[in-house]
Formats: sequence, C-alpha cells, structure tokens
Amino acid sequence: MSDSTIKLQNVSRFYGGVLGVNRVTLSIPPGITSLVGPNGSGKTTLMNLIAGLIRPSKGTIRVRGVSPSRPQELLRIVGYATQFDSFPKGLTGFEFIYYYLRLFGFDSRKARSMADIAIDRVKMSDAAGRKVAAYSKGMRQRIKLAQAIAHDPVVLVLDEPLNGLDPLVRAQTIELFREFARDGRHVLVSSHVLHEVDLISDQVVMLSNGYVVAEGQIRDVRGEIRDEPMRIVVRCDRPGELASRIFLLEGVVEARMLDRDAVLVKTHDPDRFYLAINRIALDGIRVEGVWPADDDVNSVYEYLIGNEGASR
Amino acid sequence: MMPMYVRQILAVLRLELKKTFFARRGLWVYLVALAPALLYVGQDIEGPRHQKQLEQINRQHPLEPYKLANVTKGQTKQQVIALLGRPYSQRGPFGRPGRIQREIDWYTDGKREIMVEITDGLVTNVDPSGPPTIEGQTIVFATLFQNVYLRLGVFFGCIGIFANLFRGEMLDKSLHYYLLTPMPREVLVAGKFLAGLLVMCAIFCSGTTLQFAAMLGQFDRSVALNFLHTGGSAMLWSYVGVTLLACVAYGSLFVALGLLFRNPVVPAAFVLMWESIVMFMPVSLKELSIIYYLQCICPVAATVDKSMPAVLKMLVTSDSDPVTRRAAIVMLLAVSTVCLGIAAFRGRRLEINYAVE
Repeated sequence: MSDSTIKLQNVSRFYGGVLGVNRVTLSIPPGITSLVGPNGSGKTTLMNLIAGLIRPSKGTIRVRGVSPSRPQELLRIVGYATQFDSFPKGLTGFEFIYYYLRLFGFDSRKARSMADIAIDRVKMSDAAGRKVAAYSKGMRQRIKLAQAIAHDPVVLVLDEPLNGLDPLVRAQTIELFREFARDGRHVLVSSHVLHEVDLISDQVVMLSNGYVVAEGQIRDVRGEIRDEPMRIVVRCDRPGELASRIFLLEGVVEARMLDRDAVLVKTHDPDRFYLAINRIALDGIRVEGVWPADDDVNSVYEYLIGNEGASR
Repeated sequence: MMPMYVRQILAVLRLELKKTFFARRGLWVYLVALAPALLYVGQDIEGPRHQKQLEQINRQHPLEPYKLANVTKGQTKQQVIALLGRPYSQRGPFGRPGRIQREIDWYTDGKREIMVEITDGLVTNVDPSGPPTIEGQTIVFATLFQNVYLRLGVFFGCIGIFANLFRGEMLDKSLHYYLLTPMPREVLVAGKFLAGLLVMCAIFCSGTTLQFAAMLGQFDRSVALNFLHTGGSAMLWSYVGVTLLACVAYGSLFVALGLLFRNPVVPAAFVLMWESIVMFMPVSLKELSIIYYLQCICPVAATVDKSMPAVLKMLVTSDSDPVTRRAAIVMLLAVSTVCLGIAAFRGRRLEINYAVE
C-alpha cells in the first residue's frame, strides 16, 4: 500500500446536536501516537471514526489509503480494542479470539494457530481455557488486546489499553506497542496517564472539546506554545552568578535558584538563552547540565487544555 | 473452495449457536415451545385413568349405552332420573332459595359420559363426551396449533430470539466485535437470521412433532400407526412445514424490527394486536397478516366450540375463501424477503453508539 499514513480531512461528527469532534484534520505517521484529552474531548469518537464503527458527519478519512466506508478492506488492516469492558457471553478467552478470527474467513487450523499466537503475545496462555467472565479487569484488558492483534493488523487502535494492568504487565504491553511501531505499523493509543504517554509516544494528538488543539512530537508542540515561557533547568557550580547574568538576557522572565547547584530559568526565547549559556560556560562557570523542564506531555497538556487532566 | 461469504455466514452461525443455544436467558422459549406437548402428555396420562374410573362407576351404577342418547333439552329432572337413574356425580343445586336453582349431573355408560345441566327442574344443556377419536383429536390439534402455538408460542418465541439478535448485543455492548470484522453487514444479518432460524426451528419444529406424538399417545399403538400410514405422516410434515414458515416469516419481521426500533417490544405488541383484530376485518385487510397465510396452509382447519361467543369464533376461524397453499407460501416468503431486505439495509447503516441504547 503506497499511502502509509492515517489521514483525516476536516472531519466532524455530531451526535444529534452534541459535538463529538469538529473539523479535525490530521495526518498520523506510523509509530505510537497517543490521543490525549479530558473526558468528552473526542478521543473515543476519533478512534471509532478511524475504525469505521461510526461515520463522519462531514469530512473524509483514509486509513493507509482505505476509506472506513469499505469495512471489508479496512478491518483486515485495523485492529481495535475498544473501551467497552464487555464480552460475548459464555466464551472462554481462546474461543473469544478463535470464533472472531473465523469471521475473517480463516479456516479452523489457521484461526487456532493465530489465536494461540495472539494469546501468547499478551501472556494469557495459562488462562485461555477459562471463561472470560471469570477474568480480572487486567486479564480482560489483555484478552481484548489479543483479539485486536490476532489478525495481525498494521493499524492498532487502543482505547485506554493500560487501564487495570499491573506494573509488570503494563511494561510488557508497552513493549508490545513498541514492537508493533518498530515494524512500521500504526499504534494509536488513548490514555489519561500522561507520564505513560510521555514514555511511549512518538507523537501526540491533544484534544479538547472535540477540537484538536495540538499534534506532533511533544517537543515540537511545546516549542509552538509561545505564550508560556519555556522552563529550563541549568545545573552548575555557581548558580547565583549564573542566575544574575541570565536574568539580563532578552526574553528571560524569571531565573531562580532551585537548590544549591541548580537554576530554573523561564524564557520566551530559548534559542537566545542556549547561545548565552555557551558564552557563560566559556567565561568559567562550570555548567554540568541544561535540560528543558516543561516539554513533557503533562506540561503541554496543562498549557493547552488546563489542569483538568494534567498530572493524573 | 467455499466462497468467503459462505464461510463467514457459517462462522456467524457457529458463534451464535455457541453463545445462545441453551443460554439461560432463553430457557423460557423452550418452555413456551414444549408447553402444548406437556398438555397432551398430561392428557395421555389422565385419559386412560379417567376411562378406567368410568368403567368402575358403570359397574356400580350400570347403565345401558343407548339410554344416554335419549336425554334431551326440556326434559324434567324426574324424567331424566326415570330414564337413567340417579347420577353418579352431582354438583349443586346452586343459587339462593327462591331464585333460579341450577345443578349439574353426570352419567356414564362406562365408555361415554354426559353432563346434564338442569335449571329449575328442566334440562337446559346436555354435553356428551366419549373416548377420543383420531378425527376429533386432529381437529383439536389443529385448533390448538393455530390459535395457541402459532399465534402465541411461535410469535413470542420469535420476539425473544430474533428481536434480540442485534438489540440484545447492543444492550450487552458486545455488538462491536462483529462490526470490527471484515464482513459485509448483509452477511452478518443473514448469518444471524439463519442462526436464529436454526434455533427456533430446532425448538419449535421439535415442539410440533412432540405435540403430534403426544396427541397420538392417547391411542393404541396400532391405531396410531395406522393413522400415520394413512395420511398422518403427511399431516405431521405439513405442520412442521407450517411451523418452519412461521419461524421464517415472524423471524424476519422481528429481525427487522429489532434493527429499526430501540425497543422492539412496542412494535411487536402492535403486530400482535394487528394479527388478532385483523380477523374481524375484510379479506383485503386479513391478507395483510402473517397468521392468515399460515392458517391457509395448515392441513386441518381449526374448528370452534358451538357455545363459543360469536366474536371469539371470528378470531379463531377464517370465514373468507383461503388463498391457495402455493400462493400463501409465496406470500410468506415474499414478506420475509422484504423484511430481511429492510434489515440488511438498516444493518449497513448500523453504528456503535451504546450510550444512547
């Protein structure tokens, strides 16, 4: 397939008079992309649109060149683990994966083998023979993930996939996402846990009230936020002297001691600041480290959306 | 190599049967299907017991068989006693002293039994009953089959199974698993319909067969076998066929209603009402009901009790010229095709929005 991006062009979706998402235009490259936003911001709507579970009221969507209006093609390349914690009644974990693989048209042997592989990838082999109804929340999350990856999709859409997972399984699951991303596939994840988003995402899409408020790599997004001064931490041997010199620079609005050997600088002109710090280092102050303090998802989220969901 | 859509339909069938066959929440459907057969079984047990009882009574109160036929309306109580002697069983007299006095007396010749109703000393009703005959029982079967089994049993069974094929999964929030497979929605509708049909037919066609067998259980084996060899088998197959067509017609209707309405019980209640009142209407309107065509293809016409109120008689019988069997079958299949077409169209437009369900 020549087109390897997910493209949304001016997509809107309304539920009667209620806005789901509005005028969303995105181009998502392969890799791990996190959808971030408070409840009701449109994350699930966007995922449902991409997976074809709902149709846009306006606009066009192409998932690696395939329109969601052609589900027979789309759903061979898309795997979607929804947020719904519900399952068909009476099935074991294995049957849940196996029977739905049969709906793809796979014969029994192939479906069995694919189900086994998927279950093994989410480390659920031991519990595969038990009824899904008897699973814990974390196991249900994993079996949903297994179902989404069972047919080996190139686009994986996951709504809050890390909810309910213990730390070890969480780490294993994140590694699984990374494996997918390394293969050049799309992994689209929605999450409330911002430090995890920071940890796993190649890029983020931030949503608020149905609108995309930012997209791209988190550092680039931070760079685009001109209203908020960039926070930079400098660790050095003479922080007091450094703070007084830095404060004279154009664009710097604050320079304060963080502790005995670190200064927090807030500046609207980080480029000028980085040039200045080089000069200061040449003048004899031993600079041990310089790093941005607010180019993480949490800070960007706070700047763009407010602290409604930040630091959760 | 099997075409993809056939494989997918078979996969839907497998999954649906795995999920729903013998599911606890569908047990009432099995009971509805088996209830008439259980009634017949009860009759099979009670019939011979009652017959033995009558023989025993007749030994104590011997009565010539021909005398029972001589009791007629208008005779006095004394005349009846003179003819038959004292009844072996009596209920009454009912009514306050000075008002109308009623009593009911029973007589038997050991095989047959008559119930004599006496009001103010005069016979006002004579109700004879004898050992069951095949002819009589096939008419009873036809009446029960058309007016209870088809109108209520199959009807409600179809609501329970077909209306929930999609709606039930929307309420369970598990329908999206189907919609996330690369299967045309028409194939999904067809697969689910066939799964429902398979379950319904297994339950209700078995129910019909069991009823028929239980109905024959009242007779000696030789009598029953003779009946089966002289047209009884064909009659049974006809009833099974009618049951199948009822499942197809009502099933397709309720699949469509389940997809069109958030609460299909309301339109189903309307359909039930329509199917009942349409019998009071002109033929042109009767032809707009499913039960009319089903009655047309039944092998034996339903009959009514002579004492049944006229309004009720209209409900259970059809006074219009029935359409031919072939035309009725074509009409039922046409209705089903239209309903399934509507269901497939609605299925194509189906979205997952559990929040509003």
